[in-house]
Amino acid sequence: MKLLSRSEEILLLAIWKLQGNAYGVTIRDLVSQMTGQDWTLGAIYVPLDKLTRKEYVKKFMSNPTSERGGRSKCLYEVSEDGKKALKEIREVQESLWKDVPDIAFDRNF
Amino acid sequence: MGIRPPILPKIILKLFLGKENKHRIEEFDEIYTHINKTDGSGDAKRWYWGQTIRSAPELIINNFAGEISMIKTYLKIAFRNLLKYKTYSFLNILGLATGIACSILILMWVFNEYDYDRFNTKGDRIYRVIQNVKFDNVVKWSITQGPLGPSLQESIPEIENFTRFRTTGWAIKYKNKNYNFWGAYTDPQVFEVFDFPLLRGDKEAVLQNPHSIIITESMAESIFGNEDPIGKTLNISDQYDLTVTGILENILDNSHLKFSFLSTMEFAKERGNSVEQWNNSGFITYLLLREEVDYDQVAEKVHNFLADKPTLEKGSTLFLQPLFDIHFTNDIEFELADTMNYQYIIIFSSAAIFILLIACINFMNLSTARASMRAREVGLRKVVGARKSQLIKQFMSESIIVTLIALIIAMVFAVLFLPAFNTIAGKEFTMQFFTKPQIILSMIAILTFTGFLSGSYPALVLSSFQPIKILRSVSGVNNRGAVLRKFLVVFQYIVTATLLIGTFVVYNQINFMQNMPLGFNKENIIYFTANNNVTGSYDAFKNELLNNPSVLNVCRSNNTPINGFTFSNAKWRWEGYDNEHPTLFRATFIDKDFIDTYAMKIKDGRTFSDKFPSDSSAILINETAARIIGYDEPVGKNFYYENADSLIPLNIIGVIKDYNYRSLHSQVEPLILLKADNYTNLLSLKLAADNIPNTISFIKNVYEKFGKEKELNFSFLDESLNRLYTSEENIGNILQYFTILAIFISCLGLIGLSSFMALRRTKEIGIRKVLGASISEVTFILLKEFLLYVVIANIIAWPIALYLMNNWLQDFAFHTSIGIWIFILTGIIALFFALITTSYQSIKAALANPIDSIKYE
Repeated sequence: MKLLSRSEEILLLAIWKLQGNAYGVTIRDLVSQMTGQDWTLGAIYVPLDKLTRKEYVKKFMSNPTSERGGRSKCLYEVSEDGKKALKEIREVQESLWKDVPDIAFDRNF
Repeated sequence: MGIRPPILPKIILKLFLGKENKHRIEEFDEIYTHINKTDGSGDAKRWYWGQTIRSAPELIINNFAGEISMIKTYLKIAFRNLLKYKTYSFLNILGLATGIACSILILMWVFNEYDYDRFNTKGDRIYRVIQNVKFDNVVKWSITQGPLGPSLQESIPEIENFTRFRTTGWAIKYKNKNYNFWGAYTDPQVFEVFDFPLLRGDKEAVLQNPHSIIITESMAESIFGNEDPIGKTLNISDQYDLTVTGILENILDNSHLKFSFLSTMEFAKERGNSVEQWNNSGFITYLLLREEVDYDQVAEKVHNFLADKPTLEKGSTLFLQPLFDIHFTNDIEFELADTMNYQYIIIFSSAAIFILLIACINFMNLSTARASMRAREVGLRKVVGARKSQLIKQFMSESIIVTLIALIIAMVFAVLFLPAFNTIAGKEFTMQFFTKPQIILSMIAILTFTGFLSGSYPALVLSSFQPIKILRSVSGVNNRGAVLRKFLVVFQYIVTATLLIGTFVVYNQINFMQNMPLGFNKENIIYFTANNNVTGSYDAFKNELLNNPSVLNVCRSNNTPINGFTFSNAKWRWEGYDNEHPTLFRATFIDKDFIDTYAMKIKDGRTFSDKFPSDSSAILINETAARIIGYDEPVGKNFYYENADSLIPLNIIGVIKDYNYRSLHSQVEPLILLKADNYTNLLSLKLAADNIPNTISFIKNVYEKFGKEKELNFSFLDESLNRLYTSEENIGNILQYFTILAIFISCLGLIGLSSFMALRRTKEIGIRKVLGASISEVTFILLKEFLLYVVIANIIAWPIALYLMNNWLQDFAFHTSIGIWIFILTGIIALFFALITTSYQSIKAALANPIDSIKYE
């Protein structure tokens, strides 16, 4: 399994969540909303390219849109590999979390 | 989409995002449009810029991410190549470093010139009023009438403020010690116009009291030492007591206004300066215009302002001179500081660029010459799959590495040569200049410019070689670029020859000016300003001096022949005077010994003498004045000075030969010498040539006895005279070193090039020798090519240099002509250097054993 960086993981999740309407602007909005930080578009594109290279996301062009003056947008969707990778990450993390002893959190209740 | 995002960040984004990501820029635009709609264009623009700046680093890294390993390879190969051809790398880097160091120093000089007066934050709104005075021809004065400033402000609403300066030299006394300083009377609002930094005192209050004085740090130090000067009292001319109210930071070297102290206009009035009358031009008037007013409109209103004013300068018109132009304008009279001819800035900037260009040409020539060696490398790389773009990147990275190394060495050079440069240019630059943002930016610019320029040709040419051709041909030699190479060598030598000719002409002119007969004796004359004690008992003082046989002559006057004149106006009248054409006469006060002391020639008549009591109303005129007046026999005729309503008759007793009483930049003007024994305090002494130090210590003793003052500040006339030409001398020096550098760098190039040529023709030489050619014949064949370039270059350079230098010489009223010897000498020098640099390699090649060379693969 290729390891995902944290930002790649967040992006991948965001794209999945956006269900076919994932492109730069919407991804940035969602990611910023999810993390509570202001992401730049540049910060989106870099991991996006990496994800594309790893073939976790697929690019495709939308139908021509009116707001772009008849040009199409470049949309992203999560590939099967991508989905698998996300699930794997979740499993890995859950198994790791499971083994963390409660005492580590210093619960006071 | 309506509103467009700012263009610059968009270009940056396009650059980093690349062509294939067009839609990404559209995404930026989409958000921009959205913000624009909701928050307004200001926010949107800010957002766009912010996004660009924050995204750039990541995008750049992303761009190169795939290439990091390739870049590593490029660097490795580049270094290997540098080390493989050590001599050529050395020649390249040394040449480039010298060129860059030279550009850095020159840039520093140019920026410093541009820095003049820039510390004034309102500088772009400050204008000096220039008076165009109509005499025989129009003369520009920096001085205007006292009431001009206030009345301009009153009648032109666009003027926010004004301030006047009236320069003045003071004898200051503090605790029984005497000091002489130059300063100015000014208006209290001076700090609202200029930004002279005040160390002590409140800008609002320092000049409110008429009897206040603000002094500079250095003046405070020389008078008060460690004492606190604030509140102390200084005595002026044994008459007035002024209180020190403020201390100014030392006036910067790059201010055109220079003074040691400032006092008030009220005090000027009290001392009898006509501050409120229109009959005296003696004030420098600065105007501060309101923000965003139309300069042309104000200039128009100012232009004829004097028309209905009762001034002495009839028909004068006024102009506004922007503050930042003052340093670069040199045709204005009564200028306070040295000005810099704008031409020199252009000459030096272009010289620096050309020297850099010569160094770049070396690089290109050596690389293209080496192309034959590297053609196989390129071929092989292409065969195993290198793309053209990769090869271009490789050659580019090689040239950028070379430039980078050269830049680092250049900075070391620049630091090392800074003191020398300061002496040559007559400046005082410190290391701090290197950290100025302009300099750092220019260095980056130089790096990119040189790196890309010198790398471009090899990169484009070498990378487009076709592998099949290169690998098939046995020799691998491809003569592409030979034409360009020839052209570049010729170009290098054109620049070098032009610089050489320029240097010769400048030195020739300086020499000419220093040796031109001036019409008076300048050798062994000292002059100084005497204090009141000495002038009070002048005759006794003079007699005591003359008792020493080493003191040949003593005279007193207002000016020496080299520092101009006392006043100049058009109030002189004579028979046949044409009212329509007022003429400007300069005038100065002398005594009866002046003419003898300076050994001036009397053309007609006699000089002042004690035997003629009527001489108090007599005058001497110079030839130019005599010509203008037009009397057949001027001696004995009357000449008149207009005073109020009457004419004062003056008797012309002699005509003296014209002498140059200003620098040779200007023509001789009509001059009138008046006799005034008792007002003049500038003494000139003609000394015997031998044992001058002894004579001077004698003079000092006598002066101390009479003047009751320890210090005697005297100057040698010839030294002061030469100082009039320092600016030319500095130019000459800089040009000279430039030329040496240009020759040096060109020679470096020729060394490299000639060795490559010899190498390329190894076989040819071998065969020639086998067939019976002698060593000298072979050497000549090799040298011929280079010598031909040099000759062609010289022939092209001659008209260029002739045109440029003739232009420069036009600035001087008296100038030399450009003799043919200069061109011939330049040709010989250029040939000589070309010969010694190329002959070594040529002879070496010619001496080689033909067996070795033919066998050579």
